[in-house]
Amino acid sequence: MNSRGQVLGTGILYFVYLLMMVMILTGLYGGIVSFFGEGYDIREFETRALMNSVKECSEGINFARDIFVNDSVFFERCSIEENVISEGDYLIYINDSSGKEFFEGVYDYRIRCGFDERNKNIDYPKCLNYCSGDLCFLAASAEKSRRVAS
Amino acid sequence: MLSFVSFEPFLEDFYAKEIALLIDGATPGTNLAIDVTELAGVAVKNGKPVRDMINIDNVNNKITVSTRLNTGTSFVFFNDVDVVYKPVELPSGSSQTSQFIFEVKARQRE
Repeated sequence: MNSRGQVLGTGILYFVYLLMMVMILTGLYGGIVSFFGEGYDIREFETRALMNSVKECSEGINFARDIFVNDSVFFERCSIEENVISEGDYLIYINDSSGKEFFEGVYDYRIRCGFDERNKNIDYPKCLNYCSGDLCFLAASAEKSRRVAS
Repeated sequence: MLSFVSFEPFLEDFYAKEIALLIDGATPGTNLAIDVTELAGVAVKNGKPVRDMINIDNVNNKITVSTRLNTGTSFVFFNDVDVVYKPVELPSGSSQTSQFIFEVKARQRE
């Protein structure tokens, strides 16, 4: 009886110890994930919004003629802030059948748009293609939020 | 166990991005309102003034959402517009909710 009681007591103590360890490790894991976690993934929605903006303004008169002559004309016509695109994790790429190109942002996204990794890794961009007439458009976004002091 | 897990970074990240998406899809003259009741509840719990929860910087096209003292989360919007907003109040929209109300305007050029 005494020995059975001792075994039972030891078992209960081990169980409580394991339970405490599980709780502590879960809390640590949750804390690390919440602090360093990837956050809410809006790359696809943002790319779609960017492409919509570009599509709408590309329907204007002399769009192709103007954008290949002067980069800043594109941003004025399309009401897109140039600094945000050039300094952020975006790409706007436009080309025509003669090989003329206009782009702003991370040029390498043209390659990364083809990687399957983009579906799992938010460091890779989500991309949209669209062609109309002589012009083809590519919009991509991998923009991330930033922790700031406030 | 749950007290070790902090949801504030997730909430701040979510709302900063949602507001940015709304701005990016809006044309000048659009008035928008987003329910931030959950965000306000967390800010109150953390001692953060609700009025200072959401800040929009039109110079750098940046939205900052903060439910904690001295830190927050920011995200940019690419739409070349200015955003005019009222600080969040408790309550607003209805007696049970808090809303963030803002208007998208054409960029003022000097």
